[in-house]
Amino acid sequence: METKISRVLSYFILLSTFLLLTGCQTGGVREETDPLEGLNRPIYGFNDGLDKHILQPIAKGYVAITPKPVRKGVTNFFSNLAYLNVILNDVLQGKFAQGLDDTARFVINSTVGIGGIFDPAGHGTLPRHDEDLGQTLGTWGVGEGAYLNLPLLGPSSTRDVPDIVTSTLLNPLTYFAAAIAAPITAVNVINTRANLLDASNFRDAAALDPYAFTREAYRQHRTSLIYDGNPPVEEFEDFFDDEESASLDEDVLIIE
Amino acid sequence: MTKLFGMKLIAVLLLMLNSSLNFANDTTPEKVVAKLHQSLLQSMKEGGSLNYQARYNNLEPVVLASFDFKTITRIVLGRHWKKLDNAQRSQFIDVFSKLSIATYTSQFKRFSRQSFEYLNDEMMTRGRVVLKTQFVTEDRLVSFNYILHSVEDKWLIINVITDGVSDLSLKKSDYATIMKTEGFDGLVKKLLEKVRKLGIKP
Repeated sequence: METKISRVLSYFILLSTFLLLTGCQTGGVREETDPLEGLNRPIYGFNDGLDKHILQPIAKGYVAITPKPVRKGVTNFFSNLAYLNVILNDVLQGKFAQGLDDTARFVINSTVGIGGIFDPAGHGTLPRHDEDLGQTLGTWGVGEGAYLNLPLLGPSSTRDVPDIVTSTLLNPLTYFAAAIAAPITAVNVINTRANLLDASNFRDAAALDPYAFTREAYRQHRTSLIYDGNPPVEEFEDFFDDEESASLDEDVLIIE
Repeated sequence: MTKLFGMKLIAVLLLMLNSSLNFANDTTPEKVVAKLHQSLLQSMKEGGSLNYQARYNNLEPVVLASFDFKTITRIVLGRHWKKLDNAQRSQFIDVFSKLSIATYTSQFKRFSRQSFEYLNDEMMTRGRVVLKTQFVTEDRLVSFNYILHSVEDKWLIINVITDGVSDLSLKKSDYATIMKTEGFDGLVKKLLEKVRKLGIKP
């Protein structure tokens, strides 16, 4: 058991140190390029094949046979199980009041909410928050680094990889024997995929280049989360600067 | 309850003040977006009774009147725009607006008591306005933020940001690789194919 965790840990620490170092080089500026695209695209293709042929059909079947309230309960359960990581990152981001609220939320939902299946805290005044180590690093000024497509895990970035360590370590499921944890994790994967069916349908309907579409959507979604849903509005300054300088040129001509 | 009403009243008053100060013309950003939302709700309600083409035809004039497709397509194509001739530019504007209408028609087709709520609006640089709204469904809220600017006394939408994801940036990124690998004609071909597929999808 311990060896399993330490093996996972050392792998991720090695990976995240490397990735953080490469990520730090880009600073706080958002990178438009995708330096690892050559590696990412084949992995995207692999994940997508797996998804289209196995995971998506299973998720669709699951939606067909499972009533909505049950799926809601499953989603709540796994969201609650992962909540210690949210609390840690509340604190790391200096959101202490939110950290206290989230601790109360975790306690109430784990007990009154029967292991997190129900969300009595959310019906009261303790809404669910979405925080993770990637967002914490973002608020600390770490740039997103290189976009990554991880095998099986999907879109990520060098800034978001370290969260895999904390969220794994803080998830109680990690400490159960594989015989118990594996089938529960499988349910989580299927349920999570089911929750994403609308999003992937939209991607399939709209995207010309699904890889680029997913990359851009992921980056923007992450930025939005770092700003707690209120990211600075993109100004497309380059475009409007061009426009303005063009019209300024005209003004100058008139003045002359 | 009274507090909520009071806040709503203040919001309405502020809005009126805002409209009378800045938006002397008869369209306001809020009216433009409200009209679009109304037609989208209508399209959802008619999803069961009208076919795709009929709903497309109903949405077409509203979408064309709400968006500044000329500016949108220029931003989406970025530096490639300058290399296109006039015929190609108008072809792209035409295909792109068709895709927008088709996307709305195919996505807003089922009504289960969803609604749009206006939240607030604020001025940005260069006279642009960001208008924040949310789409309320049975189990969640989706934020729809609109960026509008005024062209010849008319307010037009140039970007929609859905749950923090900007449509302009998404398309810019999505089309860039196609433009690079297959060129303008390849891009137009793919967009037309999308429009066609959206129309035949059940």
